[in-house]
Amino acid sequence: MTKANSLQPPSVATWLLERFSPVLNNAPLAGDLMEAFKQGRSSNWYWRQVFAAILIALPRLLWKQWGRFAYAIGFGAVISVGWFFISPNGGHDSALPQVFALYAKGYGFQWPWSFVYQIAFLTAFESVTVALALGAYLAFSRVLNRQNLFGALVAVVAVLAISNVVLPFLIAILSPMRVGLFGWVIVSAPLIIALIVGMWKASGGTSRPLSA
Amino acid sequence: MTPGTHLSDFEFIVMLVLLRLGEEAYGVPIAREIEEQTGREVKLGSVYASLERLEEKGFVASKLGEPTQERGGRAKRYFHVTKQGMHKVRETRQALTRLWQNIPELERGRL
Repeated sequence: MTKANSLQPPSVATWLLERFSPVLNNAPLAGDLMEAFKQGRSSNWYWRQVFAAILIALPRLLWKQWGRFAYAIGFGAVISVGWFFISPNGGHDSALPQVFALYAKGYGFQWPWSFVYQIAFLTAFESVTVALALGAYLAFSRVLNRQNLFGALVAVVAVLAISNVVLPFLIAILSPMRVGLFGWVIVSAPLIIALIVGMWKASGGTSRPLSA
Repeated sequence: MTPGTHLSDFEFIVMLVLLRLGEEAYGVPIAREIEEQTGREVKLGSVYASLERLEEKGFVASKLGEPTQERGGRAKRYFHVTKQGMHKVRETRQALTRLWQNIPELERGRL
């Protein structure tokens, strides 16, 4: 018989579980893991169970929500191709010079304000595009809850802001490696993740389809 | 056999454990019972994935209990085998019993 454990389970593992259990629609599983730990299971056991629970449930979640994921990936692809034409890259001029001129204003500021300005500009620009895609999705799904929508927009802005801070460093590290298609994935991933998070939040934080 | 109603080994074990546990069948005792009876470590995530599939097939039904402090305020999810599930268990047992019969190597004790 295992000895009762008066300690708390590893906080990082619990944090992961708390974030993922609503996504996976399985709060009782999170409760079971906590109960088993308090009945004497080890921290290693708890970690193994948390990772296994997430890894086992993710493919099922992808399978059940393939429509949302396909929509988000398609959106990411369209926007990243569109961004290529907006920014003057690879020897062609910008298709929207006013937008790029506004972005380029940031170069005139002292560091760190130049960085802050460009992060804010990119985040605002991307947030508008993700919000439009989210709006189209919600209109198609015929689901609109103001409180959920506000939470969804906040989450979208947060995901994009964090990724815009991290992305320049990641690109700087990876650019000498000629990452090719992987580079495209890195650039479009924040948009895709932001839209998935937005759709999930807008539907009330459940993995069940919106129509259910 | 109707497509989509096949029982995997693990699903069959889970259903037998639900029948053994009766009204106290929720995640923790289900996993413990499987571990005690089979001697292998069980991932609670696998147990829930199997239960979810069994529920989709109509062999298992579930209901939520009351949230408790010990579980961080989360409710237990109790499972039970449905009438359709009982039928499937009996059907699988009969098929396995038939398979066990007339195997000379087993009867002579070679294996």
